Amino acid sequence: MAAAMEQLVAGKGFSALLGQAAENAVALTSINSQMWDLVLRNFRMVGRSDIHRLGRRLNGIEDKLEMLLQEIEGLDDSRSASGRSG
Amino acid sequence: MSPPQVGRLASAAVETLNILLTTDDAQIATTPKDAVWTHRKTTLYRYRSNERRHATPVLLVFALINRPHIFDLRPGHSFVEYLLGEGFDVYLLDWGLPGPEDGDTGLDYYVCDALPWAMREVKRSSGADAVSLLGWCIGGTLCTMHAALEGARSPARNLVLLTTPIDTSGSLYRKWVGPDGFDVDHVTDDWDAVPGATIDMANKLMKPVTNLWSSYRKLAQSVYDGTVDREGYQSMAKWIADNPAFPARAFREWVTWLYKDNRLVRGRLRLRGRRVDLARIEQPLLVVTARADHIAPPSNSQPLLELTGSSDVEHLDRPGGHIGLMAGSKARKEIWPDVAGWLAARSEASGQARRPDLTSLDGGRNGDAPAPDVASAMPRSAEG
Repeated sequence: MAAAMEQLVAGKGFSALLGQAAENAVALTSINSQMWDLVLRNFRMVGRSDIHRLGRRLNGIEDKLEMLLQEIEGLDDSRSASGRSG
Repeated sequence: MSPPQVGRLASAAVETLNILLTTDDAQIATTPKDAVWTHRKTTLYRYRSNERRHATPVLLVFALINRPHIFDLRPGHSFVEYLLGEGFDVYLLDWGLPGPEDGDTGLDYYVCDALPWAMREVKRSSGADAVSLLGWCIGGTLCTMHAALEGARSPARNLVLLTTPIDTSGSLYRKWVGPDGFDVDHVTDDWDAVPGATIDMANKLMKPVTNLWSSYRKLAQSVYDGTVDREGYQSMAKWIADNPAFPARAFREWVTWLYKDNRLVRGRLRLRGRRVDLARIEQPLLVVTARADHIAPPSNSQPLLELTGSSDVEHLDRPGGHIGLMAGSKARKEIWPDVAGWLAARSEASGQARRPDLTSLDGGRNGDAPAPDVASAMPRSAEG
């Protein structure tokens, strides 16, 4: 039974079925999410997409802080190196 | 059926249900640790220990699917606990729980940013000048990509890859998401983060009867027989059910580059304009494969043995599945000592590296090397 099922899932037909099922699931969740976002927006409330946008901005700020930290550390290292050689 | 048998059956059914319903209460990943660095959702942890003896710390890197808690499942069955006992300074890179706001996170973030930055922090907090990378599944692929990009410039001194997909040809995943089927762009255009439950279901469908029926039947049977390992079942079930989302861009790149195009092994993968060339890997390399692995079968990892530029390459091929190999009940005796021994022999301070006894390792290139001294007595302060 187990071996037969494993053979079944390894077939091309199952792959196609799985791919289409995944696409349907994506489409359904997308429609659902867009609908609720529209409802919330019409009530002048913050929707999920607004939260995600804010999250992306925070990610960007965190990236910049990390880069800044690396720059400062680089400067620190070069200052110590020049101090040692001087 | 006699009344006592009916009573026993009813009792077993109630206990089985109880085990299933209280799985979430299981305590996993309990070894004490401290967060030493965070960026976005990524956190680097260092495990507390006063037995550190080896000069090179070990950085554990897990996949983007499931949580890294499998490294530290439960007391007595924890690889982290074992490594600490063997005198290693152990760090864990946790990718956290990505959300839709992380949809633009690609593989380059993990390979070119998070991993090198985490290694920098490991070096800083440990005082070591190099790190041993131990990657599992996708985590192993990320470590491989890093080493293949940076070559000798990488602070990674050793590379251990557990059940790691490198060449995906012939895998069931490739049949499902390969060139002919599955429109990954459609999925990632609409989803900023692919839900972990979806990926988990796909994984379970690879062995549908075993995963969706047999595991529950075996649990009920063991309860009925009085042989159930309640903690063991619950800790593993809790870990399996904890599925973080996969950032959309990283998912698209993973599926397209690794499965549709199989670019890594063909030398056609580029990250931020740089070619990921497996021949540039110069670190000592240990590749561990599991014979019954249906997610990353041995044939998916083995090509790396030939493609790497490293002259110190070992291969361990053992019975077990993708996860069971390292987290199963036999792992503590059958695989952890080999991995720890291999690392120990290569974790001395610079210039003191010794070669291990590889007679127990399968398919190694250095089977005539001298015996290891696993319990290296190198003094090391508790906090590095």
